[in-house]
Amino acid sequence: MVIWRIAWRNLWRNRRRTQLTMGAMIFACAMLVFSLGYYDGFLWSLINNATEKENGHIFLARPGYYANPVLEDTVSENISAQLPTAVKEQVKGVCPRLQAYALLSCGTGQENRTQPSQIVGVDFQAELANSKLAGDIVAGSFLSGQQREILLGQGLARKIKAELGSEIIFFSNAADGSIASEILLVKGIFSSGDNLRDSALAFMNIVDAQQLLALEGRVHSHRLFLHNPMQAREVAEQINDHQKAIEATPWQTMFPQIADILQIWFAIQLFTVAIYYAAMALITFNTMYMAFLERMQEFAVMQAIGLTRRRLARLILLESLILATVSGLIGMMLGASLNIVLFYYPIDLSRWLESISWGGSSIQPVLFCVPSLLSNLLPLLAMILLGFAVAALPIWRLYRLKPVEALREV
Amino acid sequence: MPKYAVLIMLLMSSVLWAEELATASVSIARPDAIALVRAVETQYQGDCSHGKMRMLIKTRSWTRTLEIEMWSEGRDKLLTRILAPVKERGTCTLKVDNDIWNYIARIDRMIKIPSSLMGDSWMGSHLTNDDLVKENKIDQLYQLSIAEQNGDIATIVGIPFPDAAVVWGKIVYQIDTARLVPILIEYFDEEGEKVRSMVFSEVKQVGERLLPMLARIVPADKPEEYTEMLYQEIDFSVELPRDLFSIKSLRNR
Repeated sequence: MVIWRIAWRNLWRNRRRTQLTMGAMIFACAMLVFSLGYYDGFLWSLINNATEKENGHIFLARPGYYANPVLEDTVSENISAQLPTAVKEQVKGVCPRLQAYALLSCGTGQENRTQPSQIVGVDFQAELANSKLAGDIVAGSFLSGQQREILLGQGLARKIKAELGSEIIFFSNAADGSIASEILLVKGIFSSGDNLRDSALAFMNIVDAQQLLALEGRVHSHRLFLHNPMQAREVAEQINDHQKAIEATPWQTMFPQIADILQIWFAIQLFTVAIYYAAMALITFNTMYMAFLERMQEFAVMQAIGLTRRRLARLILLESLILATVSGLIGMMLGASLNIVLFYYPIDLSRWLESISWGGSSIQPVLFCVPSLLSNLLPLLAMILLGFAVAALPIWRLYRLKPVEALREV
Repeated sequence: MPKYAVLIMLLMSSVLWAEELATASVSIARPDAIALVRAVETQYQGDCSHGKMRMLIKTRSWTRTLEIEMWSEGRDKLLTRILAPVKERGTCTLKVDNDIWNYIARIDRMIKIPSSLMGDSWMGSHLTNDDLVKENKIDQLYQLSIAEQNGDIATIVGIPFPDAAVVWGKIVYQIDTARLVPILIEYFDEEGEKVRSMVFSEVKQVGERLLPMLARIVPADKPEEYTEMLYQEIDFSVELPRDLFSIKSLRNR
């Protein structure tokens, strides 16, 4: 215990130098925790935007439909009976979807504007409970289950010059080959942040879509929302092993670019730690080495009166570890606090920046962090390792120190 | 001096006459590809025409029959109206120049087909909107040349002009030049892959012309699917109302 007290006291013998070094270490650690939290937030948003808005974590459809969607390739509306019990426990919710291509037209005479669009029939209650589709509404409101409602993407509404309440003509071919036509009314306009997607996408009530497309009681896909999205691949495998009449596709297959990033995510975090701590290591090393040089005669005297090199080395190591651990803990607390604040209160930067579509998802201009255990502990652990590393040279010098020569220099 | 002038004029006219004779003899020996394709593509049209057809569409999942009434004027105006099935009765398509309008009787609304959708299916069949717009202008959009002449059967290849906005990368016609009726038309994409073929049969005398009454379109990638168009009647001696090919008239059909 005495050695701990001596180490602590030694650190504060040159108060200003220690304060400056600790300040730099605390700042580096706090910024690193914040950066890793921001990266996690970025990845979290990317996965969420790709899955929870529209696609779900698992895409369940007739075999082959995911790769080659055909209007007539449908599955039963009731999917629950086809899922294994073990899978049901992991499923948070299910959203049935029906999708088709249709011409959507608005206006009369020379003002008529027609656009080919992807129409997705959704169960509004299931969507409200599971997906975040309703959160994209920028004008009007989400579907309410009333007949003939339609939601238009912002870009699509602009192209066909439609507004809230506008009459939209739906024109397509039904699954039985007949002409599917209906007059729909714009209930809401949405913006997902993916402009390309919003310029050719519309949502309507699944019951209306089933009637129009002559697919009563049938759907094209079920989107499963899981308690843990990272388990999607395993759950999909369980379904595919159990049921041959349907095919489960996890989000990692739907969005391979995002899945690829996830694979190298830990490496990216380590790389970030290395960059942040490279300069920090030099500053701390300088502090520790200077402290050693200043006390070289002191170490010589201590050795002369019988203190072993091992105990002196332990003292140097302890000083270095105390410096790194205390700085790491304070830095981690500061960085984690910032992450928690930005997790609950993200800063919207859409006034200055635009969203970017990438890998089937969209990157939103929001300063948002996720305070994960790894992003908090990794900088702290790295800082402690740094403590070991910067003590190495002074200890090495200590073992080569000859007390007589050191005392002669006094 | 005037004597010389008359002599020179006589000489010149004899040279010109000789050139005309030479051109004519070439066209007799080798029929004009453009004229042949134009004759084939406009065979169902006169100055004005009115007819009825039965269209049988067979796909992997369903089979349906449409009964269609048609009117046309020249190469640029076409009006079709579905007579059956009852659910779609009254649905019309109007083509005027390069524009296509669909009138949907069930909801009493009209939509204009945008140019980006010219390659899409027309009424669920294996015909495209582009077929309605450009089929009569092949000779203007494609460079046509006779690739082979085997007896009365000429094989004509059409390659699009560099600035032509067209769907097909190549069209190959087989035409019976003696009867002036098509036998087979094959459509290829830009990579040279065959996309679909159109086979003609049941040739009948209609007025002064011979017409194949049955045309069958088969997509190359789905050989089990087809669209058959059987002309039940066609009349080239009709007089059509002046405002027939107008948006207003669609609702009144």
